[in-house]
Amino acid sequence: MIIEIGHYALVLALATALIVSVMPMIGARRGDMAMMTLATTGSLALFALVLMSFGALTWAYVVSDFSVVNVWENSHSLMPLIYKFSGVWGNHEGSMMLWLLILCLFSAMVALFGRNLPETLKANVLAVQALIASAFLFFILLTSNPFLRLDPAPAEGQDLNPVLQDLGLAIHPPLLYLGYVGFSVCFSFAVAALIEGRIDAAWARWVRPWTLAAWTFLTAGIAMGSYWAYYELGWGGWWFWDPVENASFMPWLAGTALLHSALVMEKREALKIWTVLLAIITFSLSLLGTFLVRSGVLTSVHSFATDPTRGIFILCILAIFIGGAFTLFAWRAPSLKSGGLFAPISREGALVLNNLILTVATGTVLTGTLYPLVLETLTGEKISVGAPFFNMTFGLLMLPLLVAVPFGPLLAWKRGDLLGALQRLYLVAGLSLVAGLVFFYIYNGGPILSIFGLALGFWGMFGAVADLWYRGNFGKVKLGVAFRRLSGLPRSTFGTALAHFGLGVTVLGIFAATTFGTETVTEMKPGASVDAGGYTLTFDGMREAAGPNYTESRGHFTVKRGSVSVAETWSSKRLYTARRMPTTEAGILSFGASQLYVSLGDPMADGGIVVRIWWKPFILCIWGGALVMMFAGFVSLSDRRLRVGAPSRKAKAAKVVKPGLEAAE
Amino acid sequence: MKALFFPSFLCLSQESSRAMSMARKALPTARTRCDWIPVTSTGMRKGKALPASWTAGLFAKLVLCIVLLLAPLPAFAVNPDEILPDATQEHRAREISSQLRCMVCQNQSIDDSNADLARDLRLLVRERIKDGDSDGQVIDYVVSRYGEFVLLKPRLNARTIILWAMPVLLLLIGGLSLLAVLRKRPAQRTVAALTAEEQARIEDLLKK
Repeated sequence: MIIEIGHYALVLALATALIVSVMPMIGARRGDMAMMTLATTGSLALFALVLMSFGALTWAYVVSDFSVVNVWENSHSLMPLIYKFSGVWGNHEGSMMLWLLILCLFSAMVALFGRNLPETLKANVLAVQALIASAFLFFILLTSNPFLRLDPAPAEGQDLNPVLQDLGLAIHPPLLYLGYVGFSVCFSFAVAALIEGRIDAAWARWVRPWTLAAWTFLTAGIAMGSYWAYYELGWGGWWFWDPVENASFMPWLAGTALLHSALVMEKREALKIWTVLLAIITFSLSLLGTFLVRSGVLTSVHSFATDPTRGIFILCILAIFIGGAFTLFAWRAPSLKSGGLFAPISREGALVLNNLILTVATGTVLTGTLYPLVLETLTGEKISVGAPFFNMTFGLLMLPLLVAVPFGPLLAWKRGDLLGALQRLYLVAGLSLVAGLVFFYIYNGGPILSIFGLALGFWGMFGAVADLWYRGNFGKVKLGVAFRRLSGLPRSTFGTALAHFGLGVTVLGIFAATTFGTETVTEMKPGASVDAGGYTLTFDGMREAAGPNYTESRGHFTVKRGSVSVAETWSSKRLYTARRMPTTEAGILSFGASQLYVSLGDPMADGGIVVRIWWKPFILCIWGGALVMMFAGFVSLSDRRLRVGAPSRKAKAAKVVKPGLEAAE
Repeated sequence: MKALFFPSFLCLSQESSRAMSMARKALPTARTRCDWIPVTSTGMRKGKALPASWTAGLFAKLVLCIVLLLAPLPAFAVNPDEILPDATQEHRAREISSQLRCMVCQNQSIDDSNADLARDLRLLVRERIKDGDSDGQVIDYVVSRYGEFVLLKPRLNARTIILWAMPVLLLLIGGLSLLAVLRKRPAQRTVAALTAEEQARIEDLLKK
C-alpha cells in the first residue's frame, strides 16, 4: 500500500509541477499577486510530495519488499541496513528520484529563503525550477518508474552491486547531486532574468549563495567520489579522466568560473551577459552529465545502470532546456544593458583571466569527452581520448591559472597595481621555491622539474596566507591592531583565502604523490617482507572469513619502521555470494598525509600470492585540499551579507553611494 | 582491481561486451607465435564484424556474461612474471603501456587492466622492447595491428585536428573577443553619452 501511495504522490507531484511551471509565469506577466504566490506554496507542496514518494521507496528498501522490481533488482535481505538506505540511489531509477528530490529541495529553499526577492523574479525562478522538475517527473514516470511491482514476489533480492556496497556510496551521490542540481537554481535565475529582461548587481548578489552552495557540495562530492574510487577500485588511482568523472568535473569548472564572474558583476556591474551565459552553461553541463551517465552513451566504468531508450528521453530534455535557454539568451541578451568598464590590470581583470582559462579548460574537457563519440557517429572511425590527452592539455591550461591565483586577491578593483602585487609576492615566490627544493631534497627522487610543481603547490598556499597578511597589515602595524583588522574583514575574504589555500594543498598533493610514489608488484609467501616508503611490510598469511553477504580471503600484513612494529592491516579479496561477483578490498594505512596501499592479486601455484604495494606520499593532501575548499565555501556562505540576505533593489541603489563599505572588501 | 571486475558486471552495456566478445573469439588463435602474440587485429577492428543490432546480440552477451562471471579470475594488471629484468626497459614498458588502451575494457590502459588481451599486449610491448625497438617503433607496431583506437592520446591527423586544436582555438576566440570588448568599451561610452543627449532633445521636442 505504501508503495502505491508513493507512486500516487509522484503522479500528484507531476500535476503540481505542471501548475507551478505555468501559473506563476503568467502571474508575473500580468502582475497578478495571487498567481505569483502560487509559486511559493506550490514549490513547497511539490517538495513534500516528492519527499513522500522518495520516502515510500526508501521504506520498500528498508523492509526489503521484493515485490517491487527495483528493490528486487538492487537489494538483498541480508544487506546491512545502511546499504539498504544508500541502495535506494544505487541504481538508475533511485538515482533519478534522488536527482528530483534534490531539485525540489532547492526549489523549496528558494521559496522559503527568497522572501526579499522581487515577487516577479521569485515567481519566474520557481516556475523554471518546476518546469525542470516536470520534465524529470515525466522521465521517471514514463521510462524509469521505481514503483513497478512483481507478481509473484520473489523470496530474495539480487543484491546491490558489491562495488556500491560501501559507505562512499551513501555519501558520494547525494553530495554530488546537491552540487549538480544546485546549479539549477543559478540556471533558473538566469532564465528568469532573461524573461524579465532585467539584470543588475542585486541579481548577482541573490545568485551568489546558491552558486556558492552548489559549488561547495560539488567540490565535496567530486573529492568524495575520487577517494571512493581510490580505495574501492583497489589500484590506487584517484582520477581516471573517465567520461563520467569528466561529466561531474565540467560543471565544477564552469561553476568555479561562475562563482568568480558573479563576483565581478556584483561589485562592478560588469560581465553581466557573460555571467548569465555562464549560469546557463553550468547547469547545461550538469544536464549533459546526467545524460552521459544515465544513457550509457559513453563506455565507462561508472555505467552500472544504463538503458539507451532512456537516453533518448534525456536527450530530448537536454535539447529542450539547453536549446530553449540558449535561444532565449540569443533573443534577450542583446537587450540587456551591459555596463561597467574595467582595466585589464585590476581585480576584475584577474577574474576575467580566471574565467577565460576555466572556460577553455571546460571546453577542452568537453571536447575530449565527446570527440570519440561524435567522430564515431560521423565517420564510423573509433579513436580513444584518455588520461594522457587530458593530463597534457588540461595540465598545460591549469599552469598559468595556478600561477595567477595569488595575484588576483592582491589586485585592487578598477585599477590594480601589478608591480605592487609583484613586490608583495616576491617573498612568497622565493619561499615557495625553497619549500619545493627542501621537499624535493627530503623525498628525493623523480624528475628535477617536479620541484616547480611542488613549488606551485606551496605558491598557492603561501599566496593565500600572504593575502590575509597584507589585509591585516601585519608587520606594519602592531600585532593586536593587525588581528583586529583581520577579524573585521568580511568572512568571504577568509573564504577566498581558504579556498585558494586548499587549491594549493591539492596541487601539492598531486605533484608529491606522482613524483615520489613507488609501486611494488611481487609474489609473496607468508613471512616474506617488502620495503616501501621507508617501511617494511611483512606478509603474515591468508585467512578465510565471511561477512553478512560475502565471503573473503584476507591477507594480514605487519608494517615495521626499522625494527619497530608500527601498524598492521588486512587486505582482502571478496566474493559477493548473491551476484557471484568478486571485489578487492585494499589494505590502506595512513602515516600523516601519506599512505601505504596494499592490494592482493592472484594466488600462485607454489603457495605464494601476488601483492601490489604502493607508497603514496602526501596523497591525502589531494582530498584534504578539497575539504579545505569545501570548508571555505561554508565560511563564505556564512558571510553576514549573505545571511542577512541580498538587499532589495532600492536599498542596493542606496548602497552604491557608500563606497567605504565596498572598499573594505 | 578496478580492472578486476568491472568488465564482467558491466558487460550488459553494448560497447564493452561487443569488444569483449571479439577479444574472446580472437584469443584462442592469438597464441600463434612465441605463445603470446595476439591475432591479426584487423579482423577485430572492422566495424562490419560488429553485430548489426545489439538486441540480436543480447542473448549472446548474456551468455558471455555468465561465462565470464563463472570463469576463473583473470590475472591482475602487471604481474611479477611479466616484469622485465632490466629496470630501464621495464620503466619504458610501463610508460608505453599507460598510453595504450585496453581494447576490451571501458576506459583503462593496458597497464591498469586485468584482461587477458591487456596482458597479451603488455607482453607484446615488452617483447618488442627486448628486441631493441624504440618507444615509437613499439607504438607504431601496436597501432599497425590494432588501429588508432588503441592510443589513449590520439595522434594529430586530419581526423583529430579539431580535438587538438580546440584548446588553442578556444583561447584565441576568448582572448580576441576580450580584446575586442576592451577596445570597444570607450567608444561605446561616448555613443551612450550621445544617445542620452539625443534622448533629452527628443523629450524636449515631444514636450513642445
